[in-house]
Amino acid sequence: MSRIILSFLGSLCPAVMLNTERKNLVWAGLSGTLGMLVNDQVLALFPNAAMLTVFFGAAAVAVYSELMARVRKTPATIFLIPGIIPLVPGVDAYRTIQLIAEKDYTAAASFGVSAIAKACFIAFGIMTVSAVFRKMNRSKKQLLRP
Amino acid sequence: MKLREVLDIALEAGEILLRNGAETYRVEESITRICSAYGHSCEAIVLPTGIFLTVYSSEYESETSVRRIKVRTLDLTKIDRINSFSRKIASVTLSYEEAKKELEEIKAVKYYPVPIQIISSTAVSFAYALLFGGSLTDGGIAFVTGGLLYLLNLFMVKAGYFPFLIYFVNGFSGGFISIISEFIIPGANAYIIIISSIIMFLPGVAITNGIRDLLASDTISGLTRLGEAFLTVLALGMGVWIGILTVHYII
Repeated sequence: MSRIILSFLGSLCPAVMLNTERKNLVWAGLSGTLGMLVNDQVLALFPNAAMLTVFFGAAAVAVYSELMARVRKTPATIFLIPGIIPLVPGVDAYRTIQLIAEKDYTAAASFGVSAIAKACFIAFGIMTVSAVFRKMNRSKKQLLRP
Repeated sequence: MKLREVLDIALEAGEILLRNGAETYRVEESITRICSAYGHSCEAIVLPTGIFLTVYSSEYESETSVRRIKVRTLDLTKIDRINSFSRKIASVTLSYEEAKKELEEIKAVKYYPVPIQIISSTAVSFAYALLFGGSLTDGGIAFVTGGLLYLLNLFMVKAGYFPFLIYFVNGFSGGFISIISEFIIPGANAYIIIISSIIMFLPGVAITNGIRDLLASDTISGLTRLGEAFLTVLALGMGVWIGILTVHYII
């Protein structure tokens, strides 16, 4: 329960700092909560697949953002960027530099690779979902055209 | 409408998008949409550091222009407004003056007031300190440190220092404050305080956006963003490390 509230705060407040409009703030916060919940659930199912969980988390955030973008008539980015903030590997990237400074190169390499891999998985999750939504949009338009 | 005016409006809209952190493909799409709304075809090359745009008329005339962009931040409201502007222009044809006036209005959109920004930055640091498994003590210290760092960041941005110096100074103060608080307050975990107080400056979103650009075959933009993210995290990490060393040297 506390994780839900904290991840909500952890997306809502960055959304304020990224200047999201007031009417979209709460929805941006919920997007982060959703990503975190999916991430935790998948991690509980597959404890060894730490990389895979961010993929599903990001995909869930992307689906949510695309749907909300249709409902609230804004671009999906408004909900996407605050939503992936709890998932992105900023801390891993920082840890890499810190470990290099401490001369622990093996651990640094593993953190660096994990940072890049996580970023790739998140990007793949988002791109897959947005490609599907784009395709659906286009076929809808073609159907409507005589 | 004249070719020059279409070019001007499309470039202006593209510049606002790019300045406020929109993805490369979105900038190109919006520029194309605006040009085709006025009945012209166009070719646009968008890089994180500038826009190249040529607009063609049906009589094989063309106009070309380049915009250089130096400072980039993230501002989701402006992205949203320009997006709806470019969709609106496709259905209702605005005159040059009307479009120009609307773009000026979008440019003038303000951020939230400073106290609210500071409160939210403290709340971010508090939330992430607890999410990373810290105790309430860590959360409290991160709460204060996050606010201080954000205030420092605002001052330095206003004074106009270059970004990597700002990151370096932020990292330095973050490392310094958290190591000192570890000495003073028993039970505080310096590592958690550091990462949660600098979390808003860490380029996680920038790395992810860079890879998204690469996947969307905007290779130059993607590599530029990744390089920028690497330098950001390097500046922060060096700052924190030097902060920690300074405290160890003093004590």
